Amino acid sequence: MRLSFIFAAGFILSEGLQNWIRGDIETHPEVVLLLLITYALAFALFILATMDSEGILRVRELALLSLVLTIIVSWYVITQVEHPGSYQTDALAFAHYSAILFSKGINPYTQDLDSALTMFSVNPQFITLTPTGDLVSTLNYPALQFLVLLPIVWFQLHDARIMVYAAELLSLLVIYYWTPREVRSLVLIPLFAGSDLVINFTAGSVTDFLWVLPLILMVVWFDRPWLAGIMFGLSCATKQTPWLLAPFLLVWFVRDGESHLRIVTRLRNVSTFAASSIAAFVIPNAWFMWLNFSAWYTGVVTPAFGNLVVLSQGFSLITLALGVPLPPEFYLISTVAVGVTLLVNYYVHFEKVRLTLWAFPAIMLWFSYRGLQNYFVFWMPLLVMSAVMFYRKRFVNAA
Amino acid sequence: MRHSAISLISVALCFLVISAAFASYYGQVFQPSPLLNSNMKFWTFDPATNSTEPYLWQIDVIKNPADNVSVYRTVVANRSGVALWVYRSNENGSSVFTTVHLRQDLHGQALDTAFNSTISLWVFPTFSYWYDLRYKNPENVFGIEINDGVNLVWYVFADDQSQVFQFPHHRIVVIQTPLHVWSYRTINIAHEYAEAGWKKPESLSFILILGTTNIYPGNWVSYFSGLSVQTALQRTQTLSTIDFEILVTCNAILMAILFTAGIAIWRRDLK
Repeated sequence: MRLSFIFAAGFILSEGLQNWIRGDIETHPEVVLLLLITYALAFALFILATMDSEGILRVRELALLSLVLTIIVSWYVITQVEHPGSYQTDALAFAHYSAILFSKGINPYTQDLDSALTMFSVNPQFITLTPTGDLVSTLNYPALQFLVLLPIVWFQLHDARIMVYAAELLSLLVIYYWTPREVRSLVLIPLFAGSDLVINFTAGSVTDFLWVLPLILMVVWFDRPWLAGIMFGLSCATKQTPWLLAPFLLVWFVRDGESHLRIVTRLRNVSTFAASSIAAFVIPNAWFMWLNFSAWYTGVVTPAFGNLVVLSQGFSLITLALGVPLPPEFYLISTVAVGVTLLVNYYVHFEKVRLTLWAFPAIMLWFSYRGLQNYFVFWMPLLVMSAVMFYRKRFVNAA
Repeated sequence: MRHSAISLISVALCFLVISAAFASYYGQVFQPSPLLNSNMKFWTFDPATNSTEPYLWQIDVIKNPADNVSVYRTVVANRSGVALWVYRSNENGSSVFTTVHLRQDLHGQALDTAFNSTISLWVFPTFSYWYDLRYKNPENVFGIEINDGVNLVWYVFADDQSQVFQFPHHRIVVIQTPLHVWSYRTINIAHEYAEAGWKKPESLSFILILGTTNIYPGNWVSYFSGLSVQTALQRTQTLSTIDFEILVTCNAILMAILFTAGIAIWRRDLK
C-alpha cells in the first residue's frame, strides 16, 4: 500500500508538470489552483507512504482517489483549456454529429458527416484519409457508438468527451471494486503505468473506453453466460475492435469446465452466450439495419476491410517507414494467419493459456495495416480485470 | 505430444502463409492519391487571410483593388461542390486577368502518380470560353491549370467545341461541356505534356481556376465537385531470384528448428 502511495504521487507529479505545460497558466488562474492542489496531494502521499503509523490504513483508498482526481484535473486542462470545443479525432466528431442527426430523426449511416469536422474543429492531423485522397466522412461504427452520446445532445452539454470519461471512471471503479482489498494497491499500477491509457487518449477524443466498460463487466460475469453475452454484444455494438475476441470466447465457453461439466452443458453455455451476444448487438443496430441495411453494412464494415491509407505503430511500419512495397492485402493475410494460429493454440493449450485471450486481439491488430496504439493499450484494463478474477477464484473463493 | 505437434505445425504454417503472401504481394503498391482532401470536405481557418479554405489547398488571388473573389462550399443542382467566384470591376487596373486559384503543389511520388493516372471531376460551368479571335489569347477561363513554372496547361470547361490551342509555353485544351449542368470530365496530364512535346517536370501545381479580363467585367461563378484521381495498384518491383532464395532458405531453417524442437519434445515426453 505504501508503494502504491509513492506510485500515485509519482504519477501525479508527472501529470502536474504536463498540466503546467499545457494549462496556459498565465490566463487560467483556475489551473494554477489545480496545480497547487495537485502538488500538495503528491507531497501528502509521499509523507503518508513513509509515516510509521498504522493510521494510514484508514486512508488506504487515497491512492485511487488521488489518481481519479488527477484524471479529472487533466481532463479539465486538456479538454477545456488546451483544446476547448475541439475534438482531436474525427471518430468522436462523427459519433457526436450522428447523435445530433439521430435526435432529429435522421439516419446518420446515409449522411455525409463532413460538417462534423468543422463543427468540432477536428485537428487536421487526425482526420482519416483514403487512398483516393478523400476524407472519411461517413459513420464507420456500430450504432451504440453514437447512441450512448444521446444524453449529451439532449442535455446540450456540447462536449461528448464527458461520456467517454464517465465510461473510463466507471471502468476503473469496477476493476477496483471487484479487486480483493489486499491487492487493490497493485491493481492501479498497470492501469496508470503511462498517461496514454487513462488520460491522453480519452482527452484526445479516443472513444475506446465506451467498449471497454461492457467488456470489463463481461469478465466479471463470465460465470453467467447470458449476462456475459449481453455485455459482449453491447461492446461489439459500440466498436468493431472486440469482434476479434469472438472466436476465442467461443473456445472459452466450449472448453471451460471440461473437468466437471458435461459437453451438453458446455454447448448450452456456448449457445446462451452466442444468442445473448447477437441479441445485444442487433437490438441497438436493428433500427438502422431496417432503415437501410446496405448503408449500415458499409458503415460498420469499412474500418475492418475498408480502403484506408497505411498508418501503424505495428508490423506495417516496414512499409510506412522503410518503404517495403507491400499492399494492405499482405497485412490482412498476416493478421488472419496470426489469428488462426493463436486460435488453434488457444484451443489446444487452453488449460495453460485460458486467460491470455485478452492479449490476442492486440497481437493480431499489431500485424494489420492500421495497427494504432489505441488498438493495443485498451486491452490492458481487461487483462487486469482478468487477472483479478483469476486471483479471486484461485485464492479468495478457494479460501 | 499431440498438442505440441499441433502447435509446431500451426506456427510453421503461419510462417509459410506469411512468407508466401510476402513473395506474392511484394512490389504491389497502391499509389495514394497525389491530391489530398480532393473533395474539399474539410475547411480550416487561415488567420493570415482571415478566411476559411479547404484543408491542404492554397487559395491564390490575382486582382485589382476594386475586384473581388471568393471560394466557398455550396450545393448546386443537388450536388455539393466548391464555388469559385470572381467579380471584375469596370475599372482598368494593373492586372489584365482577375483570377482565383485553388492549388495543391505536387512533386516526387505524388507527381509521378499524377502523371500515371487520370483525374476525374464534375464541373458546372456557367459561361462560355472567350478568346481573342486573332491571336487566340484567352479572355476568361474556368477549368484546371497545370503549372510547372515554365509551361502551362489549361483544361477549359465550356460549351465551345472541343479544340486545342498550342502556344510556346501554354497549351489550352477546351473540353466541350454544357453550361448550367453538372458534367463528368476526365483529364490526363501526361498525355497533354506528350502532345505539347514538353518534358515531365520536377514539380507542378494542380490548380482549379476561374478568371476573367477587363473585357468581360461583372460577376462570374462556376463549380467543381467530386475530384478524384484514378490510381491503380502498381507492381513497382518483384523479388529478385536471390531474395526469393533467401526467403526460401529462411523458411527451411525455421522448419528445421521447429522439426528439431518437435523431436526434442517427443524425446522428453518418452522419458
